[in-house]
Amino acid sequence: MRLEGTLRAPGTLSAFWVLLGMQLARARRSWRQYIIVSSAMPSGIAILLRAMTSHPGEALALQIISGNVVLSVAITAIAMLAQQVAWMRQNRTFDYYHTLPVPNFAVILAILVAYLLFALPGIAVVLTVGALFYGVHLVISPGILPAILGTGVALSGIGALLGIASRDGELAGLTGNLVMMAVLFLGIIPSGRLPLPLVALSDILPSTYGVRLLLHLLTGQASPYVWLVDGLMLLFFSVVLFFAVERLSYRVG
Amino acid sequence: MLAFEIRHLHKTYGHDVRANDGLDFSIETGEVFGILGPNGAGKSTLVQQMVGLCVPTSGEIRLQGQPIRPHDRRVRRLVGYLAQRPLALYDLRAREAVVATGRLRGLGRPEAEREADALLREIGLKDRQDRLVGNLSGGEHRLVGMATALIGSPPVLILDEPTNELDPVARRRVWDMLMRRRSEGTTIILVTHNVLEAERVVGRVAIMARGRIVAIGTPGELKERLHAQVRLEVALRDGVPQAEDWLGAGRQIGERRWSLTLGRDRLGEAFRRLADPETSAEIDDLRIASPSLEDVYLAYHGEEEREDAP
Repeated sequence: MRLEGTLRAPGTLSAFWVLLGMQLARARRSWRQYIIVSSAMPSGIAILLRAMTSHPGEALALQIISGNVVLSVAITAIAMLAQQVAWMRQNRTFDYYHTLPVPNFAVILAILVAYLLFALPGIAVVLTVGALFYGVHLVISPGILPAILGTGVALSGIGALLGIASRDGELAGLTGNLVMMAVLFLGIIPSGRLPLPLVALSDILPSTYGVRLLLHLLTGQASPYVWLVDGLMLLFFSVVLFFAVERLSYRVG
Repeated sequence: MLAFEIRHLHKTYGHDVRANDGLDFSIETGEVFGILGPNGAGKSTLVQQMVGLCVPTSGEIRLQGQPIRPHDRRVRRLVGYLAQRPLALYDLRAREAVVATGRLRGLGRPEAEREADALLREIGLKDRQDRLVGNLSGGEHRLVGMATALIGSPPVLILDEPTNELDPVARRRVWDMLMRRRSEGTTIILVTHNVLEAERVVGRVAIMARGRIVAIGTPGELKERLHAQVRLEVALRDGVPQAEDWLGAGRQIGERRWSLTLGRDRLGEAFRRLADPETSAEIDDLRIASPSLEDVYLAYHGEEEREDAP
């Protein structure tokens, strides 16, 4: 007779890698969708804005490119992830993970990181299209990676929260698209040209700090001060949203 | 030693939906325990609380003497769970899903792969192991779920409708697997509608209705409660348009097959009817047996329905 449970549990890191692999398997069926959706709209907007402005200055060009890079992240991290999480809750997919000896935060982190990785091809396309159409020199530094990571985790947190709060995938898709539009407008339009209420709204969106940090990085002017302000804000949003998602997605009734 | 102790368990949804209404019972370590009952009886709610997926409104569930808390990692280590809903790992191949689950239970990769291969062979899915879970049939999907519940050999298994959607061969395979796990000392809690098949493996049974346990005991003890009755199974010949009224009052269990549970004192009368030349000419097969667990289940279910009637 087996009296005691002597079963092991995986280490957090090894659980995370297994969970990430499980999430990335989604790309088997949907990789075309991820690439097309995350690159077509931001690239299209960048090209459209270029066509409508005869001589965009370098500052505006970089604002447009940075904004569209963040939009690319927002499409997968907010719109697509919100629908996915709503679907997971509706189908009780979290129950599967909840009955395994893995830390909840490893599950959530794997989902968020997977959706961030799905955005990478779109980001590369937007940077290439932006550099070509606006004729600006973009400084591609290693700092871009943590900036995108921070922006991505924070935006994924918003997407996941929308998915948790929505009763079904359709509502999650709708709210995800609305928030994504906010990210688009508030990210591309410089804050000096926005009315005051919208400036306040942009202050509470992590994408604002992501765009600003990227803007400085792409021009090679990311000072320690910029990192301290925008980087810390992204870290703050990432941590708060991450734990909110972790807590709410594992709510038990 | 007790695997599970359930004390004064109540689970209410909203203000008035009592999914579990004062449950009190325990399950011994190494026991195979069946939970039977009609849809909506509160069986799945009960097992969801036993794995920590939802919390009781009041009362307590203990696993190996310790109370279960929300997000209890001890429960996750000890219990392999097959949910009633299909496994949602649609984008993984069947073998990958089982291996990944094994690794999430703490097995190293080679160990998880070895166990997954053995399980897939045992469950009859070896030739489908490279198909995406989302492309498998409903029954195959269920079998992958079963393999994910078993990998890592958890000492407690809670299986919610394990043979749903399975063909007879796969069902037999699953029951055989469970009998092997039983002989190894695994505690198994089965929620099922398949009363006849469950009777092969269960040591004790609880019959639930409207959130309460209406009967609990070994199949033998429960059947003893119907000891004054016999079950008569009658199969009619091809071409016989319909059963006679007295037979039609029984339960139709096949196209031309009826089952009647009668008091032993009425057996003589039944034989006289059957001996009638006209009636006997219509009969293809006749069996007399002691009541099965299914008869017990139906008897209790019938009582509950009568109580419900206005």
